[in-house]
Amino acid sequence: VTAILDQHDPGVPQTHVLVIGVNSYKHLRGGSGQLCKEYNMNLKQLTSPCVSARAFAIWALKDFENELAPLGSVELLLSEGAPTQFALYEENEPKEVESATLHNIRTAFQSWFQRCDSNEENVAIFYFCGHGVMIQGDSVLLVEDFGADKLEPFSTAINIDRLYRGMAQSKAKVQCYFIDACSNVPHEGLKLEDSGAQSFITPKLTYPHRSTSLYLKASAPGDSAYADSAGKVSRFTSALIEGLKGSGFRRENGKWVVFTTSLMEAVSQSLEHMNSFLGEPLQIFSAPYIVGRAGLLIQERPPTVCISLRLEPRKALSCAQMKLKYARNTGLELWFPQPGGEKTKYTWEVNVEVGARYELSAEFNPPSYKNFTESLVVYPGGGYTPDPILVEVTP
Amino acid sequence: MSSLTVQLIDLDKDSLDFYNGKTIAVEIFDIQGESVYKFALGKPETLEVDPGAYVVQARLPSGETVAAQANVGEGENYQVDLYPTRSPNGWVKEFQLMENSSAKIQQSSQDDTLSIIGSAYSRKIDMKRFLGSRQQGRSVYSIFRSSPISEQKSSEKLSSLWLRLWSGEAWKGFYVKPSSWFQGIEFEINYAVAEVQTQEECLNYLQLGGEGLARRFIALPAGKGSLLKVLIRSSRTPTGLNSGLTLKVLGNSTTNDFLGYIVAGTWESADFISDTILTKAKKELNDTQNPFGAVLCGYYLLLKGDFDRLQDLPLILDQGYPWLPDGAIIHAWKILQRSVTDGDMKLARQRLIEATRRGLPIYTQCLRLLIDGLELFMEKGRSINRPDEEVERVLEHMRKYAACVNWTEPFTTFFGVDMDQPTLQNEIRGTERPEHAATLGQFKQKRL
Repeated sequence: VTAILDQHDPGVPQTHVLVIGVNSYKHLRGGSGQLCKEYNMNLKQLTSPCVSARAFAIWALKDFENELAPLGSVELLLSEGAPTQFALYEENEPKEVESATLHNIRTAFQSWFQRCDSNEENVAIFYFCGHGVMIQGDSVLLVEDFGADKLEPFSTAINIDRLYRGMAQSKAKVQCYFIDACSNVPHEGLKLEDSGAQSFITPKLTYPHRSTSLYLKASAPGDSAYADSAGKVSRFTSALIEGLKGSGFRRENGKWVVFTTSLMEAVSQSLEHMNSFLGEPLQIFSAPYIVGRAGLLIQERPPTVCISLRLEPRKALSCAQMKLKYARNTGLELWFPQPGGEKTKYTWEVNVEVGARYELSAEFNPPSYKNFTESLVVYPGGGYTPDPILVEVTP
Repeated sequence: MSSLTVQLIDLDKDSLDFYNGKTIAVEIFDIQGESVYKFALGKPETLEVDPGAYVVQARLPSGETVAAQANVGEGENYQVDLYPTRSPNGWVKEFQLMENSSAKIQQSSQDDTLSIIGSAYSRKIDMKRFLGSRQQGRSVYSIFRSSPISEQKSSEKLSSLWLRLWSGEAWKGFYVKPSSWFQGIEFEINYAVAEVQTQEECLNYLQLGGEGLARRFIALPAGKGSLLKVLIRSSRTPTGLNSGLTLKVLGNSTTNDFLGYIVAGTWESADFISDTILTKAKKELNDTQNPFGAVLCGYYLLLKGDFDRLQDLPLILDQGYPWLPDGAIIHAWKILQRSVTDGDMKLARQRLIEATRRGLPIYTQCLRLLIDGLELFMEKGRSINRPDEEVERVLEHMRKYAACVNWTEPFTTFFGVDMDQPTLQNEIRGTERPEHAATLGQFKQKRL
């Protein structure tokens, strides 16, 4: 089992994270093993899942902060087609990472379950990125050795819906499941009574211990999940990390908190924004289960978000020299473009603190528009106002 | 004392009318980002506030957000005008298409002059000065996935579609003659809005079919004498199965507003309008016996674990509406969430089985809860080597539907030849018009 962080202490509430990424499928097209002919569903090798899983693991190790349930462990499994390693920083000794086969995932799940179950105040986080399908209404995740058994190809796959139901027995009172996979309904699946995929835990009729759960899927049933270029972090994971780092935070009683529900709102907003920007194919996420509301991250310092400043009319940006500075005069000033620099982009994306007022000023050359100074406020959720910034044309 | 007035304005008509009576989530932040006021906006609202700087944010049921700054001086009444987005795919657009079916579809947001829409201003400004000239014309919708197709062809395809209404309970029902339910249809180039009136207090499912189209059913949140609008338009996510076409039903205002927040995943906003929605839904339950808003509230409070506000709503829905599967399902899950005694488990099992006897739930998420609940009882039986045959039998029946359900739709929508024949197979496509079907083209001249 690859624990890239293990500081498990059953005596105190902690957060335990299990991360799985699968690029390489031995029995699908392009794989190193014998092709699973009857149930390959035209699926092939992937390039984004391991990059996305690494990005999620790095977020957990670097940015996770919750004084009520600090990070206790992170386990990582990656199938990249060759033995693989993980190091948080270049100067660290890299750790060998086990591949995401069903056997390895089962073992990792069992130890993750034990850790999560060791304290009632624990937080459990499960992340998967790879191929997924829907078989008879159940979400099924494909792992590296999917299709190894010709007679039972889905015996090396995970029924994540059933796993979620089974986890109701775990004592961890807050549980999050982030599933970055497609949910297409393959014709091959229509022939099956059920998939026979594994859940590692049998659901039971017991009083549910968990009071809060968030189960987000990158795709709506019947739809696909996307990465916009090969080898890059997927859309859903980008939206998820953006929500966890900034846009999911809300300020409550003087602290900044990502709640399970505010995270879902942030992911929804972010994907909708990507959809409007990138166009078709659209990615419609789904949230099969949202129960209760709990803080997942808690921190004192304000989060930062990336905003893209919009001028109206849009073309005003091309001749603008803009300056953004904190209204409370901290000395910080941001320029677009840098004084004396060339304008290489025609959108200004800038990282700013949430819950702060800024002063934005612009000068135009040629002077087709009137120079202005505007008060800009960035509020929770990652929005800013005014948006867009209206620019008057010079008469 | 100072005050702050918040109002939402329909940009096209420069009017407050469209948002009057809706339930819109509004939140006011102080300048550090702490939430200081949260409320449901149904008409222009004036709040007493301390002087200071605020951000006023409205989140629409579509998930769209508009915000404005407000710098409120001592003794001042400060007015914030919010102009929500008119996204072609958003809730507002769908709502308008159905509420005012003669509305023209707007130009694509690619048009530079439209980027201003979706803005909020703290003072009245001359929006038209910034909007410039907006052109009508090219439609953003193209029906069926083989776009672009000519408008004429698209219109012909729409005209060839048909609808038929199935009414009944406990899986027994019949197709109703169109003359008693089909109230009219409004055609635009690439979409159509049909008006449907149901007669009986029972389950009502509307089926859509046509040439080259997989037949599908959609549950109608309709009781006795309910008048509903149904939108047929292109899908945001075209697939081979849905043929690029989607079928939407508009519930009443209470249902539709709340459903918007739930579907868009904006549960924080849903939370602070839920009291208003619950009050409206209970009133509808008492005054008009319309249970659909109450079912939605019951589902929401159940998931939220808010048993104080849930109270005896599940029992009322279960016993007061013996034809409605959703009430029995919510009742069963309330028991499953709260109890562990054998007697309670027995009752929960019985309510789930009763739900399957009543028929297919109206809400997709209730179908999900039904299957999840039955699976728990199935697992229990199998774990002690005493399979629960009754549960396994009804579960097998419900799974046939589950495999053909479009889980993205809030109202249960499944592909099927007939109510008792759910299927995803291609052979259900066909040109033949079944008995009691209303072909949309027949009503081309009929305006709502």
